[in-house]
Formats: sequence, structure tokens, C-alpha cells
Amino acid sequence: MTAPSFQGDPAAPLAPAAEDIGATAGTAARRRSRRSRTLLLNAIPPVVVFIVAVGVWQLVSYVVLDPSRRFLLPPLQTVLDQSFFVSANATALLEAFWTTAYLALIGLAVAMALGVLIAVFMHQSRFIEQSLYPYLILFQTVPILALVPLIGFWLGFSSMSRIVVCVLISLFPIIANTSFGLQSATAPQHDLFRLHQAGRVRMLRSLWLPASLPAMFAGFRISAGLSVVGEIVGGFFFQKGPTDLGILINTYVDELNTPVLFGSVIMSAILGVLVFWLFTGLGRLVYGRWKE
Amino acid sequence: MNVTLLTGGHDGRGAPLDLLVAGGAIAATGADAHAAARRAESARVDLTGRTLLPAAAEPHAHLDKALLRGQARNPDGTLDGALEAMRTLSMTTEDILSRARRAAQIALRRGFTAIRSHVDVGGRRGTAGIEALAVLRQELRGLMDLQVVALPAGPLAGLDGQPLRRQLRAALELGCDVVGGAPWRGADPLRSIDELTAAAADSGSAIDLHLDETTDASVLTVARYARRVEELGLGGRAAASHCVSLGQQDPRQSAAVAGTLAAAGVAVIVLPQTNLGLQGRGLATRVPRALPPVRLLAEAGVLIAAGGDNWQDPFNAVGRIDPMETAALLTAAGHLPPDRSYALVSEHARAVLGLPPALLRSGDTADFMAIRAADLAESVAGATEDRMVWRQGRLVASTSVHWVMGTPTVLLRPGLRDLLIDVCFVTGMMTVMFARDKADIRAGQRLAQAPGDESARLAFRRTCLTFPDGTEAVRDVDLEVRRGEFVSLIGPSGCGKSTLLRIASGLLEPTSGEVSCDRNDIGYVFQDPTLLPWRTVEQNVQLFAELHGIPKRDRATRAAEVLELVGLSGAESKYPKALSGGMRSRVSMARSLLLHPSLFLFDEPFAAIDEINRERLNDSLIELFGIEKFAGVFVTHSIAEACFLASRVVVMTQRPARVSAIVDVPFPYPRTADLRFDKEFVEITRHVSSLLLDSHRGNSREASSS
Repeated sequence: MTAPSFQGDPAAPLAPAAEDIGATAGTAARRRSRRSRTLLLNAIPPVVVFIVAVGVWQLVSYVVLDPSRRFLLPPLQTVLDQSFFVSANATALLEAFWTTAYLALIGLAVAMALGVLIAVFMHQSRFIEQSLYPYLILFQTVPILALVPLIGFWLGFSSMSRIVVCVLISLFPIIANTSFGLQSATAPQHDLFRLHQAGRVRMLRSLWLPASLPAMFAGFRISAGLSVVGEIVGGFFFQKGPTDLGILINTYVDELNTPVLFGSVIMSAILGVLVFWLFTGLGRLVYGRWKE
Repeated sequence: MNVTLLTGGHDGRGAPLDLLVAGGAIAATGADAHAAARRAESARVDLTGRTLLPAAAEPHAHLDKALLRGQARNPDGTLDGALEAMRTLSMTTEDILSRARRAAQIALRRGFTAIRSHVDVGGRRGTAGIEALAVLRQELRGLMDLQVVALPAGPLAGLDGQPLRRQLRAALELGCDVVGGAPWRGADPLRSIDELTAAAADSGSAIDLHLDETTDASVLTVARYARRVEELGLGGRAAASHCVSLGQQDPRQSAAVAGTLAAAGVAVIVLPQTNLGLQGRGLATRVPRALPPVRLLAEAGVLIAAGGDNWQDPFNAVGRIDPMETAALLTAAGHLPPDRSYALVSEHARAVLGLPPALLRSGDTADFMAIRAADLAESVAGATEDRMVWRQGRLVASTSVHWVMGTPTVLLRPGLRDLLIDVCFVTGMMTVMFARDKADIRAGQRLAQAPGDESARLAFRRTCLTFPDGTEAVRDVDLEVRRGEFVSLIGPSGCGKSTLLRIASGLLEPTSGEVSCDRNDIGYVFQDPTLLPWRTVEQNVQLFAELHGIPKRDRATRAAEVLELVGLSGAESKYPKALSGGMRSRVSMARSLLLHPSLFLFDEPFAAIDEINRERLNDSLIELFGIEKFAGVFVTHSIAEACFLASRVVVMTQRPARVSAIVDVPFPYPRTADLRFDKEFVEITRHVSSLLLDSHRGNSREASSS
């Protein structure tokens, strides 16, 4: 006789369970292979576009352009060779890359702290929100480029000013997205807290902030790219302080050194993509486990 | 006054016995009880399948040493070994208190409403034990009578005895009721008896000594004790515990001593669980009996009580803390029939403690237990844990036992398996509710309040609500819900039932009229589970506890309990996105359960769940209601659901919501699934259905009456 148990007949209910385990293992493997296949399929169109773009580039460079004017669009191999295999140029590009990354990230960090803080204050107080909101919209519509020289006049042409440019350009998306996120907690969720007479600080900590995380990170992601742009724009205008990609670009423009100019544009693009990935990854780390 | 009618139970012989309990005493029995209950508004408790017995009293325990089993080892099991183990053990007041508390809680659940505990005074621990028991007595106020016997650790006379004399005096000042002692252990037992009886006479206390705890026939000090009691006029408040060697004398000698004891008014306390262990210690054959001659003493007219003595301590590791065990041993080894054995642990024990009689007669103190058994003999033999205990008319402890048997394997079908899982669910619920040691006294107090708490947990008085846009949602609602009541609100869709719940919970303020309820003591279950997606199941369940500032450790244990209760153990660290709809509902339920609110509001919690699972959830809910005895308000569209759950169904009109009719559903709780097919029940659902139809047809009743 078998011992009484809630599992009952060891043969009947356990057998399907064992099958289940096998099945999940099998489907997991199948799912993995299917996922890698879709990844491969997804990669094909951009690769095709890349090949076509390179083809057009080379065509223009070699066929359309007269050799004397080929400097306007040097062939791709020249660009790569001049930028990354001529050691002086490569070193300059790499140093500028680090400077840009460093200053942009400082600016972004300040913008993140400031943006979240402002959003929280606006969310907490209707008065603050009503007083600030029109100016935030206004500020967003003003071309930052026009303000950049002014900032240089006021604060000097040090790296400090470039950080300020970064902050100005990346602040608004953070405020807007975080504000949106803070309002995303649903009415029933609010009821849970109100039922138990929870205070503002408690609701901020346990409801509004956690609920706002996905939107907040969407803001961070947008602003990460913008802060790189801000830093390069700052350097491009000021032409002072530590050499960054903006200063290099300006220099290469003056020298008509188009191959390395293209090299610095590639470096800027790489940096933008890297910070975007960084914040996508951070976001996944913070809310990926629970976001539906 | 708190009036309760207990029906369906029977007395120790199996004859029906209904009781009306009022103001701590039994007001009436049998038909009188029903007549009186009709006159007064009374709560009802259904005791079908239970035997009513007088509450047990423990005349001789050692709470300061109770449950020491694991801490002080006594490998050979002898008395000397135990004394040695105790001598080397150091204990703090806190340690003594926590063990004594646990033991007292177990005793309460098993049916003891009074305990006399001996407590060591002097030696290494001084008066720590006395202090601990003084605290415990405060904690148990209203739940149990606790008498403390000061048990001095050595001789009291002479210069050596001076510190002990001082400590004994201090102990008596700290609230000890009784002078104790173990004179047979010392060098000069007779002199000790003289000193201790003198001390009792001086202080005017009762006296209860450990005497002759040996099978050695040459030791017999109890006769001297009886003479001293007579001389000093201590009769009626003197007791002699153990008296084992009295059973080793020749019959004439025993009879003479018994006569002396009866004349002097000394009660004898028999302690079979501990003393039967002395029997034949060190002997292979010709084993002497280690009990006093119980029948002979009884025939001589001596008051005899019986107790448990050592509750899982070095002196006896297996004392069960159960009056049924002592009674069973008295029947097996003392040769008394079960009803007389039980009298020794209840009626006579109370007499020794000087407590008023509690024999389930009209006018007696309402101390009793209702044990799940056919009669007294089965109660003693089976000793089930399934007992409800009343003290002075209040339910102070209740233990439920659920058992499940494996089904024959060939019959196991998916449906049956689900049923079993449900049974486990309910069993787990019961176990968690009642078998946890820590919260037990609290639970006891909560249960004690349940029938007596007459105040309404929720009351609407001419409550109206009009929204700012002019929509009138609620008009002139008058409704009261008390603890132990379950009210269903039923009415047309969108009539404002949910709005009424939101007003009750304080989420909305009424525009006129009153609402009264304790907003810190509400459980609110929404139709949507509303979990916070960024919290794991466990963190979601802890949310309300966090909002109420309950410490982290307490929160975690409570969360584990309620998660087990709703069958989600193992899913603690999952996030809501990984849960099914049903599981989310259960998390939401567990979240509200965690605070054990006395008012529960349900806003169509099962509306989105299919019929079969909904019935099952309703069965579980009703089971839960039977345990927690909250005040329940349940909003629903389903007539069958409304009637099955509720003691009252309130039919609402179309918007603005008003009370259109109230229908009583007079079936007792706990209700079972069969009720759904009961003829009378079906009749009630039909009635509710027609009322609902009326209120749908433009409130004709209301219109004609106004």
C-alpha cells in the first residue's frame, strides 16, 4: 500500500509532471534557437542598407566626384585609414572621445538629479507646477544653440560651461517624462494608500517614485543622447578648455581635413549609441523584472 | 450585558444540554435557556457534536520550570538528576516568563481556566520566578486564574534560614497566595513542616506542601502535617501534594492517616504523570505503586484533586499539559471510572484552589469547555485538541482540528485532487489561525471579544452623497453592521453600492448624515486586485503592515502566515506580472488579512472569476468568517452568492441608492456548500430575487410607501 499523500498515485500525477519538466527543457531550447534565428533575420535589413549606403558613398566618391574635388567625400577606406590608422589622429580622436564622454556624463548626472527633483516638486505642489510649467515649455522652444555663446560670456569658456550646456539641453526630457511617470499610479493604487492614511513622503517612496521608474528611464535615455550633443556643441562653440570632439571637428573643418572629420563624426555617433545602450541596460536592471 | 446562547451540545453522559450564558455566569439551561434567549437579544453559538464539560483546573504545576526539557538535561530521569540539572541552570526573569507564558497558553487551549503553580524561591534564582509569574498573572487577567505558591529552596529556621525567610516574606508581598515547600527533601522534615505551617498561619495564606514523594514506606510525614494544620486552624486551605508513600503503608495505617487528613481538612493532590515515574525506579520486579491510595482516601472523606505537576521539565520530560491525560492516568493506574477521574482535575481541583463551583448548573460560574466528543469517556480517551474554552462567559481559546486522509489512488481524478487541495487550504488556514504559539493569547482575546463586542463596527445614519457634478449617488441610508455579522449589498448595476463602501472606508465623505467606523481597522478587497507591480508577492502582502509601522521581523512572519493561508507559499518572490488572475486575487486577500481587521469590505471581489471557482472561494470565505468573526460587508450582483454568505441581505434601489428591503438569512455559521440546495434557502433566494426585481421596476415599493 502506498502511504496516503496528496500527490496520490505516484504513477499518475507524477508522470505528467516529469513530462512537463522534459517539455519545458525542450521548449526552452527550441525557444532559444528560434530567438537566435529571429535575431539573425532582424539583422539582415540594416546590413543591406549599410552595404547599399557604402556602395553609394564609394560610387559618389569615385565616379560622381572629379578627383580634384574628391576631398568633399573621401572614399571610406581613406576615412578609416586616416582616422584610426594614422597614430597621431587616432590618439587625438580617442582622447577627445574620453573628454566628451566624461563631461557629457557629468552634465547628464546633474540633469538627472535636478530634473527628478523638479519633477517631484512639481508633482507635489500644484502651485510650483503652475508657476514653472509655462517657462519650461518656453525654455524648451528656445534654441539652445543661441544661448551657448551667452553661457560662454557669463561663465567663461572652461569645461564648467560645457557641462552647463549639457544640463540645459538634457533637462527637459527628464522633467517631462518623470512628471508623466509620477502621474502613472492608478486611482485604485492611490486608494490602497489613502485607506491606510499614508503620508506624502510614504506615498512618494512607495507609490509615486516606483511607478514613475519606467518613464523616468525613458527620459534618461533620451537625455543621454542629448547630453553628448550638448557637450560637442559646447566645445565646437567655445574652442577652449580640454580638447573634445567638438573642438576637433571645428579644427578639421578649418583644415578641410575631411577624412578625419568623418572619423570624429563616427566617434560622436559611437558615443551616443553607447550612452543610449547604457541607460537602456540600467533601466532593464531597475524595472525589467517587474514591468508588465 | 453580554448574552450568549450555546445550542446543540450535550453533557458528559451524552444528553442534550443547551446553555444561556450571561454576565459571566450560567443564566439558564435547557428549555429555560431558549425562553430567556428569546427575551434578551443574544448571540448564538452552535456546539453540535461537542461535549460540554466543567473547565479543568490545575492544582499543582511548576510554571517556572515548564518546557525546560531541552535546556536542562536529566539523562537518567531520577529526581536527584533533575535537582542537579536545575541547580546548575541559571535563568533570567524573561526566560522564565516566556516559558511560563507558552505553557499557560497551551493549558488554556486544553481547557484549564485556573492554575496553581509552585515557584522556587531562594537558591540561585532568588525571587526571579515569583516576579515572572506576577507579570504573567497580569497578562492572563480575564483569561485564567493563576495562583502562585512560594516554594522555598531550603530550611527556614535558624541563622542559615535567615535570607530564605526574608525572600519568602518578599515573595508573599509580591503577591504569592500560598506558602509551599518540600520538607521531605531536607535533613529535618518534621521541623520544616512546623516552620512552614507556622509561616502560613502568620501570613494568613493557604498552604500546599510537597510531602512524601517517595515509595520508601519508612518516610511518612503527612500525619504530622495533618496534626499541625488542625492545631493552627489551617483546615480548608491546606493541601498535601504527592503523598506517594501513603500508598505503601499497611491498610490500617493508611486508613488512620486518611481519617486524620479528613478531620483536619487537608486536601490531597495526586500527581500521577510525575509520580508513576517513581514506580519501580531501580527495581526489576515487585514494583511498588507510586500513587497515594486514592479510593481509600476518598472513602475516608478526604478532598482529592489531581494535577500534572511537571510540564516537560527535567523532572518529567513528557507531561502533556492536558487535564485529559491526568484523568486517563487516574483511570488506568488509580482505578477510578473516567467521570470521577475528570472530577478530580476539574470540580475538586477548583475546590482546592478555593474557586466557586463551575459545574454547568444554572447559577454556576461559566467556566467550561466544549470538546469534540460524544461523551465524557470519549473526551478523556480521545483527548482531541478540538476544544473551545470559556471563562466567565467569554470564549477565551478555540482550537480546530482538520484531518485529511489520502484517497485510494485509483480514484484520484483531477477534480478530486482540486478538492483535496482545497481541504489543505482550509486546514492550513485553521492551523495558522490557532496553532501558533506567539499570537495565541492575542487571538484568545480577540475571540473573547467576538461574541461580546456589541458595538456596531460600521454604522450609516441618514447618509447621503451627491457628487460635485450633481449626480446623487446615495440617499438616506441607515445601516448597522456588528461583529460576527455578514451583510450582503445587492442591487441594480451602478446603483451606488460600491460608492457606499467607499464612504464606509473613508475614501469618500458623505455630503450629509453620519458614518461611524474605526478607519484604522478596515480590510478592503477591491474587485481589481490592485497589486503594486514593482513589489514581489511578499512585499505586496506586507504593504499595509508597512503603512502601519509594524516592525520588519513581525511583518515577515505575518506575511509568511497569510501567504500559507491563501496557498501562495513558494510564490513569495514572484512579481505580479508572473501571476494568474486568481493568484493576484489571493495576494490581495492576503494583504488585507495580514492586519486581521474587524471590519471587512468586499467590493465584488470574485466578479471576474468563473462560477465554480467563485463557489469555492465563497466556501473558503465563509470558513474564514467563522474563524475571524469580523463584521463583513459584501457587494455583489449574484443573488445566490449574497444569500449564501450573508446573515442579512440588503436590497438597494436604483440610483440614488437607498435601502429597499432587508432580508434575514437565518442559517447558522459555519455554513457548508449543501446549504445552496436547502429548500428554505432556495425560498429565500427566490424572495430576494423578487425584491430585486421590484427595485429594478422603478422602485415601486419605495414609491408606494412614501
